[in-house]
Amino acid sequence: MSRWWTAALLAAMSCAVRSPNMYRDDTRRLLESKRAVLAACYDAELQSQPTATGRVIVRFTIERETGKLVRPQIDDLLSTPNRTLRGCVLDALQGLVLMPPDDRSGDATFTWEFQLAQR
Amino acid sequence: MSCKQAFWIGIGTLLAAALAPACTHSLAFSDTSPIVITGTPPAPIAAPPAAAPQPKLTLPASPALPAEPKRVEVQQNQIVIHDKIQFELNKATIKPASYDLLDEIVTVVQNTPQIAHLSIEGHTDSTGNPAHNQRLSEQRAAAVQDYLVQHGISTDRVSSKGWGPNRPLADNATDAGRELNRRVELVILEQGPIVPTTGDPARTEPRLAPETRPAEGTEQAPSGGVL
Repeated sequence: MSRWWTAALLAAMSCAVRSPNMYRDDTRRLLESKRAVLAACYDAELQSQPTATGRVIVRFTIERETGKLVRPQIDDLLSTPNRTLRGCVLDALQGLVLMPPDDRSGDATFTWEFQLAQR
Repeated sequence: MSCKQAFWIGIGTLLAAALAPACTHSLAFSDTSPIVITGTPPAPIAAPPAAAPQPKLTLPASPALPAEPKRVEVQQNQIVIHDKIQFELNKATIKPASYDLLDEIVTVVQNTPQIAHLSIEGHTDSTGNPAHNQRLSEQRAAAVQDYLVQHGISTDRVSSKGWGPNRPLADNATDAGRELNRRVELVILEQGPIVPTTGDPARTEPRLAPETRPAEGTEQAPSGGVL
C-alpha cells in the first residue's frame, strides 16, 4: 500500500520537461504558424516602401504551465528601425500559446528576417 | 508507521526533491537561424512598349487608338476643364505644367467655330485680402486670355474677367472647398449651334512652336496658390 502512495506522490511531483533543443524547436514551430500573417503584413509595407527589408530580433518569455508567450521585447540596437516591420512581428506574437505547456518557463530570443523576393 | 513505510516515503520525498528544480527553473534559448519572411514588392508600372520615335505632328488620327480621357469638353454654355490651370504662387504666371492643357483649350476653341465669344473668368478662395484676390483673379484670367491669343485665337473671340472670391463653388472653411473655389472658368458668351468635341492637340492639329509660348518664370513656388 505504501508503494501506491509513493507512486502517487511521484506522479504529482513530476513535470513535462523539454530539453533545451526541444523547447527551442517547439517554440519555432509555434512562431512559424504566423508566417503567412507576417508575409501579408510585409507585403502591405512594401506597397508604400518597396525597398523595405531588415531584421527584427525579439526576446520573450513562455510562461511555465500556461505556455503563453508573454513580454515580447524588441532588441532596439540590432533590429531594423522600420516601425511597421517591428509592429508586424509584435502583432503576430499576440496570443500565441505553446502546447503542451512546459513546467519550466522559457526565455527565448528569435530573429525574423524580412527579405525581398528574387525577381 | 512501520519501518518499511517510512523507507518508501523517504525515497519518494528524495526523488521529488531532486525533480523539483527541473520543474521550476526557467530555460534560456535562442534560435540562431532567423525566420525568413519573403515579401513581394509591387510590380513596377509597365513601361510603354518600345516603339520607333515619331514626331507627334506626323501621327495620323486613328480610330483604333484607345480613347484618352477628355480634359477639355465643350458643353452648352462653357468649356469644361477636367483639370486645373496652375499658376505660380500668388502670381499670374502660368506654370509650364499647364501649357499642354492650354494647348488643348486652344485646339478646342479653334475646332469649334460656333464659339463666337469666350469669357475667361478667374476666381479665388476667400483667403487673404479681397482687393488683392480680385486683382489676382483678373490678372490670371488675363494671362490665360493672352496665352490663347498668342496661340492663334482671335482677340475678338476672347475676353477676361476676374470675380475674386465672390462666386465660390464650395465652402471656404475647408481646404477642399478652397481648392474648388480657386479656378478659371471658360464661359461661352456668344455661340452658334454647338457640336460637342474634345481637345486632342497631339492628333488633330500641329502644336505651335515652343518659342511662341510666354517666357517661363524662373521663380518656382509650391502649387496651391490663391487662385
